[in-house]
Amino acid sequence: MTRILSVSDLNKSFAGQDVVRSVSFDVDESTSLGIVGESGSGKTTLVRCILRAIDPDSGTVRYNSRDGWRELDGLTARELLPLRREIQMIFQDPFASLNPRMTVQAILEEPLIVHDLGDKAWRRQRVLDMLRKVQLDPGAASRFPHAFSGGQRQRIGIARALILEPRLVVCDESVSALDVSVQAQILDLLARLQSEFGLTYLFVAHDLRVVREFCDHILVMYAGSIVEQGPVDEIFTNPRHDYTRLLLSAIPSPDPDEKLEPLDRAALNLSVDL
Amino acid sequence: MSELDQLSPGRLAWLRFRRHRLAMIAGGVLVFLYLLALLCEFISPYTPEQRNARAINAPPMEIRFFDADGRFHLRPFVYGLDLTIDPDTWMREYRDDTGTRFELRFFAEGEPYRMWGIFPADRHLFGVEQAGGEYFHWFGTDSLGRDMFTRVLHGARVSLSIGIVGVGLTLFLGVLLGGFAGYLGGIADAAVQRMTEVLQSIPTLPLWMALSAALPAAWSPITTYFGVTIILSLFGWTTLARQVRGRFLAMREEDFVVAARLVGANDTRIVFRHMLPSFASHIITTATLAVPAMILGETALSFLGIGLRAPVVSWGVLLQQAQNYQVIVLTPWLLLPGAFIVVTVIAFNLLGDGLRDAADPFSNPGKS
Amino acid sequence: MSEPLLTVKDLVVEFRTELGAVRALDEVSFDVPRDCITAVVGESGSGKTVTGNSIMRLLPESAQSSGEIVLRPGDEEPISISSLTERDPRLLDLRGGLVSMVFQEPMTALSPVHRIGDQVAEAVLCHRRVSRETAWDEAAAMLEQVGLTDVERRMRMYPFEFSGGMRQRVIIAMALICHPQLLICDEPTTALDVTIQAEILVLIRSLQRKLRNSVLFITHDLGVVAQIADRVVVMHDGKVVESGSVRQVLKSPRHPYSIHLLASMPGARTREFSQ
Repeated sequence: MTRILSVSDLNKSFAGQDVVRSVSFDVDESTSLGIVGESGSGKTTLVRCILRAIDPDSGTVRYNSRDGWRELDGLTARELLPLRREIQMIFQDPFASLNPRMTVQAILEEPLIVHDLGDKAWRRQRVLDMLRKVQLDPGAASRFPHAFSGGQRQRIGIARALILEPRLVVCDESVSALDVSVQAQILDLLARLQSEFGLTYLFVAHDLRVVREFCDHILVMYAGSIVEQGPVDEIFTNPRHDYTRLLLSAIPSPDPDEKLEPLDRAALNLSVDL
Repeated sequence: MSELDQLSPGRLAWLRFRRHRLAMIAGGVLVFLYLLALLCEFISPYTPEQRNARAINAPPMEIRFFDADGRFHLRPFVYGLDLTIDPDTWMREYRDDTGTRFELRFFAEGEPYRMWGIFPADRHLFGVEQAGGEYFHWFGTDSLGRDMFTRVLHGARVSLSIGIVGVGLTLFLGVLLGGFAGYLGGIADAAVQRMTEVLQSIPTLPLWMALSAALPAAWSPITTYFGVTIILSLFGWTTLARQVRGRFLAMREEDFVVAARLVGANDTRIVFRHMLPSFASHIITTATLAVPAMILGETALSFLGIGLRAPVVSWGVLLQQAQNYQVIVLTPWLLLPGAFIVVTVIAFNLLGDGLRDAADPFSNPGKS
Repeated sequence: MSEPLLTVKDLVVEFRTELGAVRALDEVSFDVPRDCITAVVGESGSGKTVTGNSIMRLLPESAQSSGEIVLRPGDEEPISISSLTERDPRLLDLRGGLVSMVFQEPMTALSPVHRIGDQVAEAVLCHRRVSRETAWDEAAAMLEQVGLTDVERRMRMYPFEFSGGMRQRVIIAMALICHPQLLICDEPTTALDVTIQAEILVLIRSLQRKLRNSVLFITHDLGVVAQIADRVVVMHDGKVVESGSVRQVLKSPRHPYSIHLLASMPGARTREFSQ
């Protein structure tokens, strides 16, 4: 399997507070890496550093682009532009992530315009194709975001992320604001698109049940550091770090006979060995 | 999906605004006032400096359909005035002279004027036969026998336009400097911020007075007009700049702006395509609410005699005559410009409220 | 079992909006039995929150409702909540007295400028004539019950010094301090991290077992339902589609919507995949 992303010793602090502490991991192409942790664990900051929405303090982010390996940090906005086509993001809040004053057509077309792709007719066709791919009606193109439900908006967000044919897609809590039945549909859609386009997902989530279902590998973050990483099944069946055990013990099972017995925080060793 | 789903956010805001009855009425009132101001030469029966020696400090004349004998007349008319002077107190008093009837007519011939300073004309929307010695003062006259209705309308042109021009200038300065500070951040931000604080900490009235005193007395009325507007705007922009800055800072972190950045959109595109449209509604609302402050500012300066000066006619200049209590007792109609100011200010505030209510749902996209 | 503590019968709630009347609840009927936890589960728009707010009479003015909500406090006359007027003194007894509520957002439910202890004691003083000292002592005892340690020192702290989980404990203490017969929890753990959620669920459960009151627990998460509730009411689109004991509804759901909801659970899908 080809490696697509390699992060090593990444650090980021805000106002003297370490938010991401010497994080290193690799991602293979066409797999999904789940990044889990509680609020404040640094998972969102981590992926924003990879997207270069934030500049990390130190460390390297290497990305295997269509033209070979590139170091993302240190690139200027102009140098980054061609790579933006390959790395995209799907946001958490389907209400805030779409400009309320633009039609769906304009929202989906924008990436194509920014990258100067095709003429007007081609772009229009491309938008319609993309809408079909995310199972929305072509009539959606002329509407404004407020006409859609949360799940439909998230589909529009997915279409925007995929219209440039990226290879690496960051999903930052992309399904956590959705109702369970909608969540299931969106997860199915993401899985289908993955097999169709060979996408690689960085899947940030706080719901371990979703990660378990959707991801191949998992990375558990606590207080800015990775406490454990590995294949999903292995981590779920045989967690090694106490924090992972605590997280797993806190998942409420839908089976009333599997009683919820969260481990006692005080009795655990939650220190992070670096 | 309902048909509302097809509408743009702008149309939806308009639909919401239309449901705001007070704001709709206020909007109508303002359109009416601005029309009066725009067409004031034509609508007013006199020219602002025209004097009527037979009616000095005359009270408002009542428009009648029935004469003293109770007979109905199809054409409205006013009675002429009969001046009596109390031999003891020397109080001047006007009585209706039921013997003289001045009939009102449309497109009456009157003093020649130039419409908007360009087109010569001598027809007024309504009036009496001035050539025949008739007169008609709906709002009374001042101490020089000038028609108050005419002067209020001409004052409206100056006072109402100073609000718009002043706010336009304020907006320009505020959006430019606030946007600059908010988008660039760093030193630019700090510089604009400190400048705002300094300007806001200076007591307004003394500074206005100082600056107005610095306006050369030899300046033509039109230059003074712009001078006063600029003085008012120089202080008005700070509040708006702060709001714009705050909006910019918040908006920079909005998901849809980050999304645009992540597809590679450059700064120009982000600012003009995403950020400015998103708070255009907010700016319009703020601007609407800022107009009354401008108008009141002009009035205050002119009232104190340091803003506009005669022969310019503005509501503030007109109110200058009403500075002593004698006026209030003897010729209360000279306060009428004040009523116009009150109506205008209230109308602008109601309109602003309506606009804010209509625009708000989109200035803050609903969180789930 | 005796008569249920709360009966909701044919509750209809409509909101007047720009688009005309929107029906939020459509003939909703269910019981909240004594001494157990009843969960109301549904997705957004199902009407579960409107149901909770109707019981507290917290609906906005644009709402029109019909139907009956009757509370039967143990030793008193039944109260028809739905027919109380806005000025009825019994409404004040009801809110925070017989029935109290815990909301989703632990960050905004506490006043940032008052000490924790004062806020909890205030809740006592609102409903009973006792001295400040008694109120303070009762507050301390209740905070201890919800698992706060070092209570006397913590009561002199301000909310910003507390974590989200601790704040939610304080809010639960405030809700329980007047010994309500019914505690309504509206998504009390949704804003919390999963480990904190687990602690709060265990806490609510053990408190109910100790105090033997009734809890109406509103949530969207079937996992939470399974772990906390004795009985469950499944809502969809303003209607009750199924209700019964937790074991019955979660293990052998009858209504297609309940089946669909269970099948959508991420955990359920994992099992499907691995089989």
